[in-house]
Amino acid sequence: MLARSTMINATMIVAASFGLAAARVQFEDGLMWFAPPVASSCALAENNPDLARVSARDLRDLLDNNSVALVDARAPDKYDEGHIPFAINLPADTAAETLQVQSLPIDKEQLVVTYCDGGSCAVSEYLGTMLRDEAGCREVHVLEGGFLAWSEANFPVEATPP
Amino acid sequence: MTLSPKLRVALGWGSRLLVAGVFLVAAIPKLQDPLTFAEDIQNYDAFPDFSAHFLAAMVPILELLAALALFIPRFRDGAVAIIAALDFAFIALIASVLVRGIDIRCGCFGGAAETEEAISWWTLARDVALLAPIALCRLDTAAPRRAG
Repeated sequence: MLARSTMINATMIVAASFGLAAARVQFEDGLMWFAPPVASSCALAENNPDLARVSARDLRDLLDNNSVALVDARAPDKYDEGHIPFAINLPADTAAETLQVQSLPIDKEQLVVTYCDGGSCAVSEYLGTMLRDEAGCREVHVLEGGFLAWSEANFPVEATPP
Repeated sequence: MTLSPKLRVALGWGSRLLVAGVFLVAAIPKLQDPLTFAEDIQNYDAFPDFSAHFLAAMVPILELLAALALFIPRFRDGAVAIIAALDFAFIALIASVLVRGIDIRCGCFGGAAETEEAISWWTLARDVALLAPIALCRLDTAAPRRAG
């Protein structure tokens, strides 16, 4: 059993952390009390799990043959930190609004591959479904394992210059 | 086995420095980039989505304060309790990811995707191994009971 003083001290540390975290959420741009989540949009994708997968190795071959349009579904800061060469950035959480005001800078007749952070991340499936069903892309695949699989395979990554 | 007082003090200090170092190194990148950490939290698929931002703000602050409190005698035991609870929580989360077969990065030390490891059994072993120094953090404050 924890001593009473230990519990009191632990509670004080947790309370201080809670207060500082609350202040940060309140005053820092981008942080919200109730996060809008990427995963909420993933529910849409879970209902449409019919996008084909492409492995990192196959994607590299497709890029070598210049026969694919690549779309990064992650947030812009992550795209800037590092992305697959030739990928354009279309963050999934704002994609619907973006597509309403600007046209997609890719050939819709070409094979389109979307990717996000990791294999379980359904954001790329959500975006892929949107590109196929709403933006009119003919054929859309999802990168299996996402950016994590690509970088773990030591395939080239490029960052956006500051 | 009874340890000499000097050894107890040395083990206690060594453990506190190690544990505090690990938790500070883990906290700072997450403090600098809470939104990336929030996405990592969501990828675990273990918490309600709406809580991701608040957890991303709170966990690194808790790690930071608990690590610093290890060096304040009055708060040491409380800090050890919090750090042990955090480590057990991390172990449970990582184990759940491995059992579910999800391929995500750990997010344990924040940072960019390409610099962070994917979760593996090694990640789990590392967190389990950390329990030993955490247990030793109290050494020079908890004197052994005398027989009789």
